[in-house]
Order: sequence, then structure tokens, then C-alpha cells
Amino acid sequence: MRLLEVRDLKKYFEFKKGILSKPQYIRAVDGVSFSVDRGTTLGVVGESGSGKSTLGLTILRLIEPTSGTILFNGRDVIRLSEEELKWFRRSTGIVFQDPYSSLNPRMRVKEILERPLKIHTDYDEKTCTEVIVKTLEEVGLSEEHLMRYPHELSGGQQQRVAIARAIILRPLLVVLDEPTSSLDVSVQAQILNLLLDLQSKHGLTYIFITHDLLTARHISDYIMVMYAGKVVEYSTTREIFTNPKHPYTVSLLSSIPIPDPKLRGRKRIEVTGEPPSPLNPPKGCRFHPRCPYAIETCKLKEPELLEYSKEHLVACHRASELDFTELLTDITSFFA
Amino acid sequence: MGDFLPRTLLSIRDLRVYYETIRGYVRAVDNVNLEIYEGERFCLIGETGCGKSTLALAIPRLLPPNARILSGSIMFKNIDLLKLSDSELEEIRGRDIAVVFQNPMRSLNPVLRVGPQVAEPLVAHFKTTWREALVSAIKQLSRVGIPDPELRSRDYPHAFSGGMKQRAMIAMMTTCKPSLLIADEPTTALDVTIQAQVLKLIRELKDEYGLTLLLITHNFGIVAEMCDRAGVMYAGKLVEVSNVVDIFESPLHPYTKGLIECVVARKKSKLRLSQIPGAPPSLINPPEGCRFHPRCLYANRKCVSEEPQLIEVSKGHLVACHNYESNR
Repeated sequence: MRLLEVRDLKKYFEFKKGILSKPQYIRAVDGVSFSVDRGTTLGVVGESGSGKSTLGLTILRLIEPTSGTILFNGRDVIRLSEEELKWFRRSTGIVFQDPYSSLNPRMRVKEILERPLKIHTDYDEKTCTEVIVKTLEEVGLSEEHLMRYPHELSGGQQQRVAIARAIILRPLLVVLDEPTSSLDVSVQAQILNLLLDLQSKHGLTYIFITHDLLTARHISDYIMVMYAGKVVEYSTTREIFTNPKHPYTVSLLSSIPIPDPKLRGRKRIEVTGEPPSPLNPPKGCRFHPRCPYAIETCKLKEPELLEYSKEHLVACHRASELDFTELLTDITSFFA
Repeated sequence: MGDFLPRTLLSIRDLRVYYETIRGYVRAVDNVNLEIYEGERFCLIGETGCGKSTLALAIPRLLPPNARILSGSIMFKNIDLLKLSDSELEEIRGRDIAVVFQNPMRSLNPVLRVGPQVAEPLVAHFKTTWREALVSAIKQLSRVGIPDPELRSRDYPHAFSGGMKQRAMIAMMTTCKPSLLIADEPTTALDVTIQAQVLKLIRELKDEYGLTLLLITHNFGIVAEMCDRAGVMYAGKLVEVSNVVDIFESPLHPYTKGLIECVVARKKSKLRLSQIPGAPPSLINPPEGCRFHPRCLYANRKCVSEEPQLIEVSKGHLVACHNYESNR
């Protein structure tokens, strides 16, 4: 069942060089459409400046979109009444990258987790504490952490508190914005396991935003690759890793350092240059200046995100003629 | 490295580096022994706060002011770096030993143009004239892949993107063709595609100049792609040293094993990852015995009381664990 549907979502930020200069627009999210089914995880992958975090914030209406439609459980999020917005806030949660800066340093764990209950429920003091302790246990903490301040907890524990806060009201959708990027490898594994456990227990739907393809692969059912504010490819995790069609996705796959010394000499496509400025993205396909496969059409015409096969969308003029199978044999066998 | 006997370039003996803090001494590097051979690519791996950066930065003595080197020696080409005076050491830094840091914005001077910064080591170490040094600097900038190097050498660092700053930093650090390049998480702040470009550049320069590379990272992918040998650190100790294939395929220390198993790529998606319980200990009061024992699934009484030494258990494979035999 469809939980979230996003159509042609745009978020432009106004940017002025001086008081008198004409405003320019940073096109952070520029016409993004996708949908997420209940109980599944969509991984949103992209490099810095690709618009993935802005997308996460806009979906939850933590920032207002410039245009577009967001349907959550069939209701238009942008046109919610105040009452409905409260329902929406209750049904969604978010976890940020840096747990320390997303927890109020002056509040104890108990107060942090009490806030959503106080705002959205009419539980008495006793029920509140019961719910808090139960949620703490669910995220692998315990009653002894109730009276702690965030600085008394390790990074992994702080992130567990942030996750507890996001799920305490049993939301339908949780946006996870790089929740493991600031953590160490051994702690990352703990948090990913926790997220998978919570998902299967409560049937949560996740939007998992990350720059790390390997983490995205581990947790996601579907992956959406973004570049310079646009979706360039969308498909099932398996398809993205075994049969990617967009040259940018392929270059991302070639770029990740693979933890197997035997694959050191593998074939790759190497992209040159750097992602474009969002103030002034290239005409035509935004990836064309870095794309080794670009042809004349790519410079002139912007490719649409089209269905390549069932559940596989690609925004590339040459999607049907390019074949990366041979190039990626080593990587695909590693991921098989 | 083939069959010939590798020559030692750097030999660290019984090194202890502590940080003085109000809560006590942080034992960041505690009796570490390590050999690095000429021309090799060595990688130090470990989690935050395990002492890997402290160990690497103790070599050129670029430690923060509250660091105390309490004992040990660091022999570099038969000179004990710890016994050198500051001015003697300055002659070696930047010329024989160069360092690339994680955050290029913090290591480039924001109020100087990039060109002169890249040229400065040549002027400082070889008494080159500024004019000549700038010409070499521009050449070096072009070598590391800065487009329009002549023009860009007149820019200030803020006009460079993160990837370009790191390239400029690498240009500065290789312009004197040092024998040892220490790279402390050189790509952690960069995007994946840029990271791949910078790693490739480091590999190429290593071969071109015959550098010895000491790379510090927490990313096992980078270890696999960049290094010949690797050393794993945990809580101020070196717990395992081996060639890179054995680190991945037959690790002996339970900590190394745990880390390798945590690496997401190895598991099918949506399966639970194996995890190491708990978190690394405080280095003010590290656990007695083996520092990993509170998190170790195989710990026994001996591990709690007696500290394991780093010993060679097969050719070139060193491990500090009482129970390595049963871990094979």
C-alpha cells in the first residue's frame, strides 16, 4: 500500500550576492517524483549538494516546498489544516546525522522523550514514564539512562535516544538523514541492526538518506540516486547494484572503495571534475560535463526520468544503448 | 614487496604518547612498536580515539601542546626523531617527511594565495628563489590535476572546492619529493567520486616518486584499495599487523575479525550485521589486561589480568591476543 507519493517537488532557495543584486535561485530539489510503499525502505543516495537532505526536510514540511505535491496516506501535506498538521507531525519522525546537535544539551533523556508525549497525547505522568522506559528498552538503552544528559552518553547511545524520540509516537514514516555517518564502524552496525529490528517490529516505513552506497544497499528495498537536485535513477536495490543504467550510478559504484583487496585492479569508469554549482547547473543533462558517454543531445536536452523496465526508472538519453555489464562484472559478483 | 629483504625506513620502539588533561592522562599511544619498510604502503586502521592519528603525528612531532612523549624512539633513516632539536626537525619536516591532513581548509593558510603556499617548502628547504619555486609550484599544481594552474595559483584557498584544496595540499606536500608521506584520513571530508580521484592521485604520486606511504583511515574499503600492509589499533595499542590480504581473509585478533564482519558490504542486504557489543573504553582508565577483553566474546581469566604482547605468529603476521590459536 502506498504511503507517500511525491510529485514534481521543487525547493528553490533565494540567494542574493548583495542587497541590490538580482536574486538568484539555488535549485536544491528540482522536480522530484517518487512514491514509497508502507513498510519499505527507500534509500536516497547522492553526493553533497545533490539535494537529498533538502528533499527529506521538504517531505516532512520542515521547510516549505516551492512547488509540487506531497501525498501522505492520500492527504495533501501542503494543504493540511492545523489539526491535520498535528496528525502529520505525529505520524512522521526524523533522525539527523549528528545526534549531539539534535538533542537539547540542557534536557535529560527523560525530558527529551517526554516532549512528544506531552504535545501529542494526554498520558498522565506515570504512563509517560512507562512509555519512555519501554521505548528506551526497545532502542537498547534502559531505565538507568533516564536522568542522563546527552553529553554523558556515547555517540551511539545519543543516536539511540534520537531514534527513540523519532519512534515514540509510533509514526508511519521515519526520515533518517545520514544516521550512521558520524559513528564508528562497530557502532554503525549496531544502529543499522536496531533500525532493521524496529522496522520489522512496527512495520515502519523509512526514507534513508545517505552518501554511502554500501549502507544504502544494506538497509534499502529501493534506491533513488540523486544528482544536482534531480533523480537520475530509481530501482530496487538489487537492480541498482547489478544492472545500473545511468552513467552516474555506474561511476558511484566504481568509486566506492570495496573492502576486498582482490578487487583492487577492477575496471571502473572514472569521472573527472566535480559536481556542478546548484546556482547554475549545466544545461541539458546536469551530468554531461563529467560523463564519459555524453553526446551532443545530452548538452542540449534535459533527459526525462523514464521507465527502463518494470520498477526501474532512468534519466539518461542513452539508457537503452549503453551496456555496463562487462565493466561491472567484478563489482556485481562481489555484491551477488 | 617480492622476495628481497625489505629495508626499514621507520622504526618505532616502545612509544608512549599521553595527553595531559584535567581528568588525568589520556593514554593515546601506549607502548607501540612498528616497522615501516621503504617503498611500502602501510595503513593504520582503527575507530575514533584509538590513537592512530596520535601515533602518526608523533613521527614528525606535530602533536598538540598537551601531548607528552613519555618514552620510546622513532628511528627514521637511522636518526632518532625524538632526540632532534626543533630546528633539526624542521629541516626534515616537509622535505623528508610530509603530512596531508583530513581537513584541507584548516591546513592551508586562508590569507595566502595557493601558489606561494605550494612553493614555500622549496624555498625553505632548497633555498630556491621564489620565482623558480613558483614555476615548480604551478607545475606541481598541474600534476595534481588543478585546471588552469597558472591562474588558480593566484587564488586564495577559499576559492577552491574541498577536493581541489586537498589536491593543492598534496601538491605542497610532494613538491620536495619526500621519502615518507603521512596521510591522515585524507579523503574523509570528500565525496565518493572525488575521494576516488584523490586516492588515485596518491597512488600515482607514490609510484612516480617512490614514496613510502603511511595512510591513516577508518574505512576498510580504502585499506583494501590502497595498502600492502596494515596495522589495526585499539585503545592505544597495536593489536594486529599483517599484509592486507591476511587482514581481510584470515584476521587473528577478535577485534579485527569483528570489524571486518561489521563492514556492511560483506552481508546480503536486510540481514542483521554481526556486531561488536559495547563501545571503545576511555583511555584515561583503560581496562586491565587486554584492553579489548570487556567486549571480547572469547575473553578468559588470563585476558582480564595479563596484557598480551604483540608477537609474530607467522611470517609477517603479528597479533596481540592470548587466544589467537583458537581464532584461526
